[in-house]
Amino acid sequence: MPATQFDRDSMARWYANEHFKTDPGIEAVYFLPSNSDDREIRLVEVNNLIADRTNESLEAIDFGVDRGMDSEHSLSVLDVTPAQWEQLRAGDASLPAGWSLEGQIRYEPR
Amino acid sequence: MNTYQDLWWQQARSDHDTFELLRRQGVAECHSLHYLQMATEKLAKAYFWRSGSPPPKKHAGFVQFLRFLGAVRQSDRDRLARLFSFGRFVDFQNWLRAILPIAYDVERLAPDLASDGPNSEYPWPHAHPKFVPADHRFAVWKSLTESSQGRDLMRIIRIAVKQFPEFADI
Repeated sequence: MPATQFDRDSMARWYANEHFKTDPGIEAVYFLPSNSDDREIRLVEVNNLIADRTNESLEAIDFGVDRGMDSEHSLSVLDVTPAQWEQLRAGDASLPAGWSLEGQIRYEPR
Repeated sequence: MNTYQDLWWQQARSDHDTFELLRRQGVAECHSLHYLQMATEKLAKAYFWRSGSPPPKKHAGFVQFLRFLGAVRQSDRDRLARLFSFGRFVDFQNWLRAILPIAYDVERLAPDLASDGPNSEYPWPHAHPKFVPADHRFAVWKSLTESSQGRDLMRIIRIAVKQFPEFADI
């Protein structure tokens, strides 16, 4: 993981690339910078290998990273099926509290 | 849920709360993993106490617990699947099959089960220590944090801990 100075956009891209490398089910990763803390990275990962689930599974998992370093930040990842992503876009399902699709940045596998 | 189950569930909840606190703080991986391993072990023991008899004192149990959930009687299957956010029980079973390798790795974090290798508590190997948990990058942490299956396992563990009374007797 890159250390030293923290650049949120670059780090979000970096996480997306790393997850593409290790999880063949990921179709796209969306970085959602709106409404979040400068040191928080919110990602929605659209994954076609996740079993169809009820929307109660729409819960982000958050991690602290690089504690005590210049690059200290938190990472929150919401894993969704393609169908759930469409529901989120249509407003038929809810993102975690405080999250917004506004200003979303889409990453695809390279 | 009997009294014994309630006691073990209380400790599992506390361990799990600590796991989430540590995970969010970004402390050394070994500490988050240690509390995750303990929470899952105690959750399993809370479940196995449903017979009214003490489960074995060993640290294993989490994988066995997941296997039990995947093989509950027909009449409980729909309810259990819904509890864990699956539409069909067969999807829950398929999910269990996919995440069991990660669950095994979580279980093997306990020093007694680590075969004198990486564990979340003590330097290893025992006779001539060369490695320290606090500096170690655990493969299971990478699986838990960098794969959708790993993150999903953490979500399901969270549901299992929070909703334990709903399936304690199944």
